[in-house]
Amino acid sequence: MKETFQIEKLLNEYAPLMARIAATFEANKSLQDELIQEMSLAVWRAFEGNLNGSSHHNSGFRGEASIKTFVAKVAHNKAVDHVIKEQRRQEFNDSGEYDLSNTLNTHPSQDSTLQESAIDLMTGLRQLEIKYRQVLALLLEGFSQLEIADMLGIKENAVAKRISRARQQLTQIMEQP
Amino acid sequence: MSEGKSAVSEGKSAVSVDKSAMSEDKSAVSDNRPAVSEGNVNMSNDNSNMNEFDKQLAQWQSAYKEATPLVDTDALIKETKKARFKLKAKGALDFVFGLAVSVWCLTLVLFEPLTTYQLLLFSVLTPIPVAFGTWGYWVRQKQWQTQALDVQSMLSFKQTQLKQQLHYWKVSLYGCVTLWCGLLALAIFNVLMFNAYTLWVTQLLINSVVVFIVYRRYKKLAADLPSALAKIDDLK
Repeated sequence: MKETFQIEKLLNEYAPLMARIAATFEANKSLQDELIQEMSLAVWRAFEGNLNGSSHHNSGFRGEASIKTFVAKVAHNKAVDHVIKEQRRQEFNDSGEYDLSNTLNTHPSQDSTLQESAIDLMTGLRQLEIKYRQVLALLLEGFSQLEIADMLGIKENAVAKRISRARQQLTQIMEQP
Repeated sequence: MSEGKSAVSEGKSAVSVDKSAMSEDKSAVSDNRPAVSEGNVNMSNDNSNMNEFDKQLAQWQSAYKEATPLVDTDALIKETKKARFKLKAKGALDFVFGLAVSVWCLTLVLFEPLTTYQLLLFSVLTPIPVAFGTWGYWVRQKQWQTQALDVQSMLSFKQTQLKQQLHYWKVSLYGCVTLWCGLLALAIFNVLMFNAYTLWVTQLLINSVVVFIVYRRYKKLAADLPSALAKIDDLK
């Protein structure tokens, strides 16, 4: 019962984060939903592995503060795994204009400028190379460069370089008419 | 007196040199002023760039949160639980099935009157299903554990997996070709000695199809491997 409660709490809290990551890597709505479910299952199994103490020493979480980092890491892993599989099937479609009709904020009273910015940003993000998309998506989630470096398994200065290039590229894409 | 005058004169000239040095210093300070001023402008530009970057980042962060896809969390929890149950059930079923076959083989070995050939065959067969089930469980656990690694380690693991897959098919191909050669030798022996064509030619043909399929699969994987590895490298 305790375990069930925990996974429900975890998914209630982090489903939006996983959905954003899925939307950054997959444009097809039904594949996006599948990916969110795969991420949820992977997060659950990864947490179980940690609780049982059977996981890799670098992969664990160290308390409440890093749960978000842990979930984001597993979700990004799953997203990259998904990209590899879909590329093999040669049906991978991660570009195209972003559809805002299935988002959390669909009220007519919402700020239309912000909604336009959201469409532009997501459409632009999907045109970036995966490695740039990844660092930028994590930065936009509010993670520090050190946390991003830990999640991706690269050095902090490499993260800084990628962020800088990603920002330049995304700015150029978004400035195109 | 004259010594005193010369000393005063030296003192004056020293003061004069000092004055010119001070004048040079002043001009140097004056020369450096534009540089200091430029430095201030640069710092100011850097600060304004930083502020612009921070502002842009804040705007992007708001837009990113705005683009959060709608998720039916209750349905997601339900589906995830169902998927997890299916996985656990499949794992348990594989293990129970393997155990049942092993127990059946062991029962035959221990309690049934068998010929030497049968005894040898079932003794060899007994541990295989359980070992296979355990190996399957180990592989699944390892795959799950990679999900919690960092992205670079996970990608390296994927590349190793692809190489191992090719190696597995290569070994399978060698095994199949060896068996086919053995079968060919037996077929030649039976055809020459007992004039038995139909059975041996049929067996050879069926096994030739298996060898061909394994060969095609191996060649396809070998041809695809460099691009598959390069695609993963691109993600690193």
